[in-house]
Amino acid sequence: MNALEVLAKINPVAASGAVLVLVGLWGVMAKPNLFKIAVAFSVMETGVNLVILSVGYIRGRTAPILDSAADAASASARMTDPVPQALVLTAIVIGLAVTALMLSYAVRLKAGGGGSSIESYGEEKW
Amino acid sequence: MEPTLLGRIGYAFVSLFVITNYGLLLIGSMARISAKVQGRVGQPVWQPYIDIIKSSAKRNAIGHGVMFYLGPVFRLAGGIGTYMFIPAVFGSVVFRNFSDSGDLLLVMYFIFFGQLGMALGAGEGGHPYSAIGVSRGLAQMTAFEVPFALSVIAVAVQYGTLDINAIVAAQQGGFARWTLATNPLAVVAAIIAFLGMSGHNPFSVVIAPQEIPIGPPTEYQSNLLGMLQTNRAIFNGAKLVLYMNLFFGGATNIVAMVIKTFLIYFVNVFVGQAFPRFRTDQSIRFFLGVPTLIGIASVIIAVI
Amino acid sequence: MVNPLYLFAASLAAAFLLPLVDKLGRRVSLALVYATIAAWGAVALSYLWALLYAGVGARAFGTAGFVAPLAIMLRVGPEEAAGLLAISGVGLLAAGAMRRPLAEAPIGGAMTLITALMGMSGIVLTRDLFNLFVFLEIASISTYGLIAFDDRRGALRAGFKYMIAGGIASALYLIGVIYVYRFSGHLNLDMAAAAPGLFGGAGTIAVFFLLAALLVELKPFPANGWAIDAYQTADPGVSAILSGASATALLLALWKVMPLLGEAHLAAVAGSGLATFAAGNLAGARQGRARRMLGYSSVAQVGLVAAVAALDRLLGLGGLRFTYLVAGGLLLNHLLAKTGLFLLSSAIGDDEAARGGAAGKRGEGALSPFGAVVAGVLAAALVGLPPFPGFWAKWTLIQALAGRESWWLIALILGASLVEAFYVLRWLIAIVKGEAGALAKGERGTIEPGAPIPARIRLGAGALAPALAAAALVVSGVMLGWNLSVSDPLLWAPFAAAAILFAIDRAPGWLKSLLSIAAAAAFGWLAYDRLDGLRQLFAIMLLGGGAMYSFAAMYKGGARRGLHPLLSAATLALGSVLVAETPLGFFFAWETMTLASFLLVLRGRESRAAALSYIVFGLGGAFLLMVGLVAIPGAWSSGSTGSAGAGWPVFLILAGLLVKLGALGAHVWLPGAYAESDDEASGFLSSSLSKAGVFVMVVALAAFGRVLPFQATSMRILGWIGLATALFGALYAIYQEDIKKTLAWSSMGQIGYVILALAIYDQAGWTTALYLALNHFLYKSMLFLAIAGVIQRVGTRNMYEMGGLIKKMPFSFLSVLMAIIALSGVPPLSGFGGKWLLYSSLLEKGWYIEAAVAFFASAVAFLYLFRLIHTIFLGQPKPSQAMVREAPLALTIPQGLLMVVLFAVSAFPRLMLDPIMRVVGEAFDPVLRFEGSALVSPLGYWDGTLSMIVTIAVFALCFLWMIANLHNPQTVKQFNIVYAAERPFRPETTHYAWNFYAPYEKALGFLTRHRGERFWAAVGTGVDAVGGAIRRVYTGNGQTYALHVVLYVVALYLLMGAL
Repeated sequence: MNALEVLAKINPVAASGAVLVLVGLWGVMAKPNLFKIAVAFSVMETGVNLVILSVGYIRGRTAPILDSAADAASASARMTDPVPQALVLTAIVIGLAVTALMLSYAVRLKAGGGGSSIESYGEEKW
Repeated sequence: MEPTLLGRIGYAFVSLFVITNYGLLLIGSMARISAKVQGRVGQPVWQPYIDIIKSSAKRNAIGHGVMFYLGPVFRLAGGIGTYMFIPAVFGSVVFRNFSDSGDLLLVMYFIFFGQLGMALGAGEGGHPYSAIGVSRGLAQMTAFEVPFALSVIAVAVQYGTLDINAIVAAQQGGFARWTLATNPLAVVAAIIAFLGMSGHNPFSVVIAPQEIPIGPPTEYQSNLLGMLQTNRAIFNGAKLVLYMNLFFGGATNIVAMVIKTFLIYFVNVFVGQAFPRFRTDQSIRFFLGVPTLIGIASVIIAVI
Repeated sequence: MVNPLYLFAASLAAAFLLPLVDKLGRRVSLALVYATIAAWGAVALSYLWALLYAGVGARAFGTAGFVAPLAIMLRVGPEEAAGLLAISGVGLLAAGAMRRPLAEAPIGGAMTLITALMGMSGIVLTRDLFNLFVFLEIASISTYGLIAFDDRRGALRAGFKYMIAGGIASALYLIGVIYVYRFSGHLNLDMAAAAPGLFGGAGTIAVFFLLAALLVELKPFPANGWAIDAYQTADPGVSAILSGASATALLLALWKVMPLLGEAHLAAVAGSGLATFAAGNLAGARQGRARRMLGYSSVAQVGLVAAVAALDRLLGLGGLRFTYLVAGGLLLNHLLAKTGLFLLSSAIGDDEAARGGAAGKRGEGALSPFGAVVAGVLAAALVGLPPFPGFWAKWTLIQALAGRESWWLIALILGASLVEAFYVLRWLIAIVKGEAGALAKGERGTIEPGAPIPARIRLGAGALAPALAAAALVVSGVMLGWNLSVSDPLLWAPFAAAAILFAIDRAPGWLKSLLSIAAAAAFGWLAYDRLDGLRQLFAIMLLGGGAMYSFAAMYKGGARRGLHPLLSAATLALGSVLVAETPLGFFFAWETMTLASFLLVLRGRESRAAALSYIVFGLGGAFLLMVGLVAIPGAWSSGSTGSAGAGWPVFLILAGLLVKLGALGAHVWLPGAYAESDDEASGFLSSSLSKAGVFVMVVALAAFGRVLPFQATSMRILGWIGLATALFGALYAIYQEDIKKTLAWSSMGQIGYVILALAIYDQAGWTTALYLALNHFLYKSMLFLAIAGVIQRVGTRNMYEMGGLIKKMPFSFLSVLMAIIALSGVPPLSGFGGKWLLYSSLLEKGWYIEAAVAFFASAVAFLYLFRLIHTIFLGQPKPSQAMVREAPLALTIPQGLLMVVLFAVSAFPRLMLDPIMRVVGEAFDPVLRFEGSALVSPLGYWDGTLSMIVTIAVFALCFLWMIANLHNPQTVKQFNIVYAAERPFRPETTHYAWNFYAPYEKALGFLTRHRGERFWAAVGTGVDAVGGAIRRVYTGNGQTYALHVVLYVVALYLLMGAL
């Protein structure tokens, strides 16, 4: 199996999702700025969502909508899996909530007179 | 023939009378010998009698409280009791005493009875020297008990009994059967312990004749002192008899007893005249050193 | 059953309505919050009722009219119902305690509280993996909100870190879920578990992601710094919810996904859980801050529960019932105790984090009695003492692990438990005794000097929630115990007595004394049929002794609050040690005794350090004992003897008992405990309670002594341990200035002789041991009672500050005199019998060197005994003590009684020896026998009666001689002594008492340099250092914590690969 074949086997959506997850993780661990951490989380969540989508996608099939392309009888044979798409919707909503909450935390922390670096919030330890 | 109870009590008094007089004379003669060694004339041999009579005849007695009065009672009872639990002369009905109360262990522990009571009585006297003397005496006692206990154990192991009569019986039949011959190390350990027990030099810091008046009995006078002096004779006699029984073949008659005990006691005087005095901590270390090792060796010999 | 969907709807409705309702006033909106949470609780109760009593089976509810796979399923089974109840219960308690902060903060706090609890309930109920994610997120997001609801800075800081970790976990979970779906084709748990696709290579990895996310949420070591920071900083009510409710929900989630897990997964769960348990407790040991400490304890406990659930599946420890009992019991114990403790820490103002580091109320005053009881119950439960659920769970767990021979796991779990006990009880002691103790130091350094010190901290309404948690613990503990068929009323009698006496704690002391005596008498009467000869002998010492000390407790007036319940409980616990018939029953009684006596020690005035080391060593010993008991099948069953298979576990039992008896090496708890507890409690501990250990040792050796590995050598070593204890107890005693310390060391020494005699292991030796034990009971009681009177009258424990008391307290003097004559073994009192028996049996056995050392030890005993009586009663009286009176009747009456008994058994040794020899004769061939009044051994003989008569006669003669010759006796004044023609300066300088044996110290002091203390201090320092090193991973930096999470997951993965 040469390199091309390996590449061809890789699901491009999943791969880009994984890359985004890692980028997000790197951001969470490496960027001390509170807001950048929140952004990094968004990136990570997007990556996760891509991964989820990649599972539902089946090459050569149509969107999971009952129309001319697929009727009820042949739906399961001709459509992609709709479940991950439904899940992604939920995950996006939840991700939004987390991002919002994180940002509001960051705002409150800064408004309370703290710095914008996470390193200045290490008072509780040991 | 087993004497009646009344008879036994009568015999006990006879035995006590003998040992008291013997003890007093022994002390007197030893004091005289010491004086000769030091180039003095010394006291008459019967000086202890004079002392006791004088003390008892005092017209006034000073007391510090009930326990103070009871101290000499304990002391004298301890001396007499110790003697009463030892058979003084092997095979003699008269000198058998009440040795059927218990074996060697009873004797060893009854020795403490008088010491404890005396210490308590002296304590109530309130004199610090008394307490210091007791402190030193007890401290030294714990140490010399170790070689003594070891040699007693050796004897018990050797003869397979703690019954003093049986121990004496096993030593009958000539010098070769004495403990002195069969287990000399045990005798050495015990004799060293005996030096401590009698409070002669080098273990005399307890009553420290120079610096401190006379140790525990400091506050005692009159009749009370007389009782202590009497006890000294009896108690010494009892210990000597015990040693004789354990290590020197016992005695089958009074004469043998007198000779043997005199010689045992003479060791004290001999050593006492030759050595200066140990401090308390020195004597503790001394007893727990070489004498203890000798004692252990004696037990090992006995076991083998 | 009610469809749980209604509850979700109700919760959401309530949460969204709250801002509107709030317009009517905060009271109304809070009422709505409580009502919503209570509704969950009520429904959970109805579920439980239906499932457990009405016989309805577990039921699944579909949503939107469909069933799986088309819809999300909610399942209600026993675990779920119990979990819901726990969550709503904790929620209600916490919300109740948070009433004020909730009322003051914006309404968002109340909203997030409802949604958080709803999310947790959802986690419990759902059977759908993705829905589980949704509920996890609902719970998490609400929790993030809740953590900082009152806007405190610390909580904001911690909350952010919490979010980072939670975010990573949720990403992991999502990836896991989607791949589980990918490989199994299902999101429904039961269907996924049945699908074959999950158990291949890729499926395992999918499940791993799922598992890793749940584990991270469960706060494993070291990826748990974020959680601990939150526990420390959030409102204690929130911490309680995090620690109790959230952990319950997540553990149930883990429990749910367990069918998906393979063996490697399970091993990872178990390993991670146990590591968390150990590391959490070690790190907790270093904590000065109460909440953070509770946080460490929380993560540790949760780790243990997770490990237990996994271990059951791995090792097959006992199936579902086992897991319910152990994991459920531990979880219940944890959540109630931790909730209670978090809320208590808030109620007592141990709240420094919220106040920016200012000193809280704690550290300045002691808790009120009621608060102390509540705190005691909660802490005791957390530590796993009876009768709380944790105790039963721990026993069952250890038993099951022993059945699988997982000794290392047992050692790990018990070792970490011991560390946990150490720091939790240290905290308990600090708050109950109320002084800026070691705990306060670490955090705040100083308490402002001169600040007014409130005598008692009253909790008021703040005590309600902790008290409810404590009550729930008691009830559930009793039920669990009953369930494990520990239903003998006599075993529960100690708790009943304690409860009743606590209830009337304000009543006058004499009434409670009489009630305690009646309780002991009633116990003896009820138990009489079950006591064989041996147990009757010990019942005299244990129950009789307890009753006697209850009587003596009247010597101080007033209510003496807290003393009687504990004394009575300890007494009855000793009794129940005698009557216990099963290993569990016995261990229950044993731990009850440990608990009661610990609290008794704690009651002493300066007893903080002493009580702590007492309980730590007590528990350590008990753990050894427990492992020994469970490792020998059939141990302690009535009449078990010499069963095969009992090998080295017997050593564990013996080691545990040696710790309890204070054998040299493990004795460091002893002097403090005996010296610092109340004076009559000291006597009780020394003369009665220590005999419980002797009793168990007798029973254990009787049953297993013959099958010990290397029997002769083992016994010889045991003998030497006893001997060393005797010698060093005596050596330490002679240097003490403190009278109670002297008696404490003396007690240690005397018990040493008993151990030595037991090791001789023949009829003579055991007769000696029991005779010594009974005698020790007699004379040590006399000593402690007399000394209690002395201390009460002179107000000091330093002997050199006393003197000449013989004239003021002649009766006490006589009592002490008889006691020390007996103790030192001087004839004619009964103590000599003990010496005679000891040496006779040692020589008969051939232990010659032992006999010599014993002789030395008992000679050394003279020193401290003389010092004791001399410096107190003789010598120079102090002017300040001129008005001292004889001790009160409550003390002298028992002493008089004991004197009579002592004299009787001295004059007629058969009174005591006949019953003993009858008991011992059942086990051994006779060595000793009586001939008339003379006791005869193969070596010698002793006639106690005759020697008594001779002594009395000689004494009487000498006495008469003295009286007859005493001319004109004059009693002189104190200072009229021969003093080198000088007048003594003052009594204080004339009384030779301080440092009485200075020469002895000089000669042999090198032997007594407290090496045991130094050794254990070094062990403590070592544990402390390890804990200190471990907690260094918690740097406080959120990104480091994120790194921990990532590394944890990677390590877990690698570990799984290795397995």
